Amino acid sequence: MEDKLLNVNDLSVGFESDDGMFMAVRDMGFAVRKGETVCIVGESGCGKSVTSLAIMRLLAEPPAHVSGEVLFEGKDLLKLPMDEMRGIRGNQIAMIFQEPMTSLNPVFTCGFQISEALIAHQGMTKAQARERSIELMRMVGIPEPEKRFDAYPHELSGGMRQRVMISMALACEPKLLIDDEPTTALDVTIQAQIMELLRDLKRRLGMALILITHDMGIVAQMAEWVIVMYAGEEVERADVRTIFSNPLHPYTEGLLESIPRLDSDTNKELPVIEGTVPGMYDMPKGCKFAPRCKRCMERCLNEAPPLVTLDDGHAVRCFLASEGREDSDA
Amino acid sequence: MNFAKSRKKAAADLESQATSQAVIRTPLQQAVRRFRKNKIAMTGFWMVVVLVLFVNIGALVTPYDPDAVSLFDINATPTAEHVLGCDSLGRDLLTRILFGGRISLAVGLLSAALSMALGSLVGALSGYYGGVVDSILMRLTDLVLTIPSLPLLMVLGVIFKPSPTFLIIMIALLNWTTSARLVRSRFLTLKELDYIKAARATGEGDARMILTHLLPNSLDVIVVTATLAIGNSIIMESTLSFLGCGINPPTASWGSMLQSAQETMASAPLTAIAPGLMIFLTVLAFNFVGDGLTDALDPKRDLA
Amino acid sequence: MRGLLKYAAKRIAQAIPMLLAVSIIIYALLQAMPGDPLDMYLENPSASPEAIEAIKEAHGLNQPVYIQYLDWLTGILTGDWGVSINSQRQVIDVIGERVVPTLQLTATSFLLALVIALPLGVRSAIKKGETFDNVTTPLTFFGISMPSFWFGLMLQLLFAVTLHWLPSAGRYSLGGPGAGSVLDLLRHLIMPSIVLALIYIASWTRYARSNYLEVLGQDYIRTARAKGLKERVVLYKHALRNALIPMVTVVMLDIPVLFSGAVITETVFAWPGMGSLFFDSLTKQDFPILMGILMVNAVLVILSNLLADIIYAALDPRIKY
Repeated sequence: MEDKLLNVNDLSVGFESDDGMFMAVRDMGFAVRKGETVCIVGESGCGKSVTSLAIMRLLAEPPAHVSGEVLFEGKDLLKLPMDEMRGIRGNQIAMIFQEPMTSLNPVFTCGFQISEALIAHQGMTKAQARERSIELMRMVGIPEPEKRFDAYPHELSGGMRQRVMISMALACEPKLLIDDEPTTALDVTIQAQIMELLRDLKRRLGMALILITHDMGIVAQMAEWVIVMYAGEEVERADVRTIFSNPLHPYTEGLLESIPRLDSDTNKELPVIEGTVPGMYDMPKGCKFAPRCKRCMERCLNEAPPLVTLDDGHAVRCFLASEGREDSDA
Repeated sequence: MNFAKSRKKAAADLESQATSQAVIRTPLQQAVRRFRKNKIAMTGFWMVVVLVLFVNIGALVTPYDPDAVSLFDINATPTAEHVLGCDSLGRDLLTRILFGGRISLAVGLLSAALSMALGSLVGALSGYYGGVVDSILMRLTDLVLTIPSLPLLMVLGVIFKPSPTFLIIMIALLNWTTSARLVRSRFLTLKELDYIKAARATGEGDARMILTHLLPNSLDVIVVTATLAIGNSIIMESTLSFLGCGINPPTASWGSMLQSAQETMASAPLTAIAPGLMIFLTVLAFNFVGDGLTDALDPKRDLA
Repeated sequence: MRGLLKYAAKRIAQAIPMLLAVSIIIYALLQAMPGDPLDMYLENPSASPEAIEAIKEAHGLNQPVYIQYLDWLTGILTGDWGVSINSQRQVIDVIGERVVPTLQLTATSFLLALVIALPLGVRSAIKKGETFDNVTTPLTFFGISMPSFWFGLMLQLLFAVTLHWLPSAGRYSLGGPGAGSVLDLLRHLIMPSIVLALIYIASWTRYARSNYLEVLGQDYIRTARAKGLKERVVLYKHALRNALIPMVTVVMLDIPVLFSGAVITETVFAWPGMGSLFFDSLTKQDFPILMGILMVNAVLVILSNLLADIIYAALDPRIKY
């Protein structure tokens, strides 16, 4: 267990609202080992981003209320004084956001924004930081980095901006990098390039990766360990092979069925999961997935299934899986 | 048939069970709820109600004629008969405040309403038709904005010695630009939305499009700007009347009552304090309400 | 820099037709003024018809209106702003001697408002929902709801009439020890500048607050925090730079409004600036002076618009001109 870099236990995040507390994330628990890639998968609105922001303590409290434990190298980040947390952010844990278009400050040059982390965490001088920033920009594949150093964000394309974000995140060679849908806002070809780049960098720098995505294709390509989230809860977690070969939760099955495959019949419609993730006002009281589940039973409507761990750390939150799948056909 | 029906019913039951404790509100209900939870807004709301009732009922009940001069009561200090005392002509101050309040409130409310109507019309035409109509109307708006409005109103006030009606029109004519710009930009946003495009594609006429689709969806902007414009109009009227370019004596308005305040305030401070305090409280009340409406209706909210 | 100059030239060219249109409107309205400015000569029994004719001739009052307008316009452009009907002096001289007092008053108020409003707005945004904000925000409502002339009256009543701490009006004391000194000027300046500044203190605080709050909600602020920057750097470097840009525009556009606001303040406090000159000329129907002041104000509006655009363009790297 020594190789655990991050250990998340019972992480819950609620948001205050006019109508009381809305639980965005409930009792999340997972671990990330050194150098490992963990993917958190789910539809938009299921609490993936909130989880990552809670780990970084980037949620404004209030309205957010975060409870549980986030152990990073044994230290609970949630209890750390803000000063120490700042020393970890951008230094040991870095984050890349979904929106490269709005995540860079428009009034500062890209180079300045990369240098900032170096000056803050590594005590570099401006000149040293400039040199290192250009090096980083070259590493993430930005052409003519000396020239781009002085460019403002609006002068670069979305793909280039995301590369700037990545070089900013990598500046201090973090042990853990959190990517929140880093390619959602980008063209498909750029997406592939960025993913390739991340995989390559991860191998070279030996850092761990938490990758948040809704794209099962990316999961297959990148993940070693997978967490499937639905409506603020983990519904299934397993290593990537198990998830693809033996998915136990109907939601995971649904996600997998909705991937187009080369060998699938092109005349047949691609299956979809009907409906949408429940919001604050229509949260079911039993299993959160019940209203959309093809295998919904009477019991699922009234009783919330617990997360049950089977073998090899494969865990699932479904009565069908925890109490024998065969029963359901009867 | 029956079978399909029962299956539908089963599905509905399932759904209603699954969506237990669901709280669903219409946007209007949400807005009302937000407004009522806002302490400042509710304070403003009740202040407006009390002020309007006080001024209108008071003016009916008071035993004095607001314009009756009484030589025995010049600058009289407050007594049981004259609760706030009398002014430099011996007129009952409270009575003049009540009557003046009716004029000031009427001028404020009506000129805000008129400028809103004018601004919405200009904004609607400009936003809906675009092109040449838009550039002409927007240049016109810029032009009105370039004219220094207070000095110009002063000049107009001296030229025309305005009646209250005329004053309402004058203030409105210089105050419509804000609402015109806001309604125009709302229309521009709305025009890009699919359901508006769809309605247009069905061949509905321009007037119908504007009146049934675009204007109702701009009501939040209009209501918020109108409420904030009331306070502005009241201040403008009182300033003009104070300077002698608005409501003219002997007609009382809160502003005109302050015209000679500078000379009398040393001997009868209430003649300077009371009318101004009324203006201040009234404007404050409308601004509270306006701010509450801004928060409740959130006119900048995402329309999509 | 050259691009900026070219942009400025283009904007000035656009402003000229606007100014002409404003001048026509103002001229037409003032022409409609009742009460011939010659009334006071006509009422003078010793004025002969020839003398009246001569005065009319001298003021060009016998010409058709559009000729009078064109004459006036050429005059404005060549520095001949006409002659005050009331004092028989050159309008440009009469207005000219009022410029310094008005600038003293408006500049003091402007700086006062800026120095108070910006920190107040930013701080109440940072402390949103806390005591500081809960006190400041209602106070700004008082500021925007206060009729400035009444606020002036109340200050006079309290500090001049009742407490005798400050002089009630004027720019200098008429006599006595220290009359005419800088200290004397400052004592006279306190109340009018506070009165004139009040509405801007309130409205700029509100604007700064809401604008700063909007910036704090932006993605790039989260990025800055995720980088592990100190909160001070996030708030006062990353957020403030962005919040200041639109703030500059709002402040610049309020400058001409500040000048027309001076009409009220100067009248209440008998401050001998352009505002009180305007009010006096209005009661005396001194048309050339009114025209001159209104035009100065219109030029100011267009100039501040222009300046706001140019400063915005210079501050925001995203703007191409």
